[in-house]
Amino acid sequence: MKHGKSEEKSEYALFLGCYIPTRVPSMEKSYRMVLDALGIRLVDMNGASCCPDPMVVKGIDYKSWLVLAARNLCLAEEMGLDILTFCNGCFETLKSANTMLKENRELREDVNGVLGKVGREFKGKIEVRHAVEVLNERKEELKGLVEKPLTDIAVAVHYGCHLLRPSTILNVDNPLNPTILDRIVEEVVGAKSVNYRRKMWCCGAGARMGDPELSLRVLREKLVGISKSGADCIALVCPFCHVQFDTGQILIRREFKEDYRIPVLSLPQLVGLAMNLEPKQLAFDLHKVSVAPLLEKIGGVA
Amino acid sequence: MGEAKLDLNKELLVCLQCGECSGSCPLFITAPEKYNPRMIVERYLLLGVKPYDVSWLCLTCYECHERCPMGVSITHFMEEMRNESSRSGYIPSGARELAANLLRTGMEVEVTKMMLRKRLALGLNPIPAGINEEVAKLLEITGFKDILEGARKK
Repeated sequence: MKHGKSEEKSEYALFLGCYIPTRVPSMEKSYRMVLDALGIRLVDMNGASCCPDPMVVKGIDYKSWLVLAARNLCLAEEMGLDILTFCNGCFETLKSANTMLKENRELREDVNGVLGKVGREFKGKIEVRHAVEVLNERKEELKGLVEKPLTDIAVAVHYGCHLLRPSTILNVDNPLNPTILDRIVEEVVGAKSVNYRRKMWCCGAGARMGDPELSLRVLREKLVGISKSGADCIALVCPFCHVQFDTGQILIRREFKEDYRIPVLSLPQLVGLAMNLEPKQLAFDLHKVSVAPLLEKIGGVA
Repeated sequence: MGEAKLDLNKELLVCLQCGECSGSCPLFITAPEKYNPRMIVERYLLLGVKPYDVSWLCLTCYECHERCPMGVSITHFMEEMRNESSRSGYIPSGARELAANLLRTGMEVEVTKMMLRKRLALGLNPIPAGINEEVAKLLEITGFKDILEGARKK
């Protein structure tokens, strides 16, 4: 796949966003540990705001969404670093805004007219990348860090929509039939990536605000498929999907009287286990659905 | 240009009503009575019905956007409808709350004391809290603040 000139950099401006640090710090912790082991330096972005999110803020006012995204891009430009993000929502917002503002002069001048009032200017000097892309391009190095391949484990990967689509802009993998996560699970972690019904479906998180019951019904469709596949766990790369799958299973138990109990891991947690990092360091105790059965199966300490 | 604002009539008029959008929509497949993108477009084009309420249901999963044989983006249509809905005074309460947080602090989601303790126990940085004056100023200039206040009054 095309990654442009930003490939194989070892220092990034870390765009952490709002949801990972406040709701899914296990994802942040495990990404930091795995990327650190790869020798990648992450510099925090002082003064960054929300990306802002591509559903609510973009839904309320498109231009406000674009202006705040552009401001965040300016901060990284001032640092002289490409942005790395762990979150699909941040990735879609920042990469879309970056691409559009670079390509469309009229739009750029309009946005810079607003940014000028706070003394900033979008110049279009950096790239935006998802941490998964970095793990993917460093697959060989990552393999060398694996001490304990999880060969007995079957994993249901969930991509999350905004890692892949809209594909003309995000350009990470085939938007309808991707393999990037499956390949990391199989080639790096050493586990089996299973096929399951509704694999490419959205987790349903996007409808949580408008219709919580419908949102859970979409999630349930996915859980039925994953459950039938015999997967030992779910592996994903988006904090909204993480909360939807993890907390959602508790809600589904209550609302639908169905008990799935499928552990939900962020991909760096799964990679971390294969690297033999301590489960305690990977913060599994913050999960709603117990990860203990998985840890027992791979012979770790729950 | 992948994702600029839509000229709705021009973009949507090429719709063939083939139903590929509905056939690929997780919401339609799960609950066809609640959300039917093909029918939403039909009603918009033939009857001028603007789907303000239902636009907030769209998952923004872009399945239909990727598959439409005519290159219509219903995802972007729904975004445009959300923008119009917001200006007309309707923003769902959950969305309003996140937007109000953004206006006040620069962040949509705030950290709880419990989560802050857990972050520190994991060796992660505390999250800088407080107000972001620059963001607030930008959101005033773009009109976001007014849209939000207009929706709160209704």
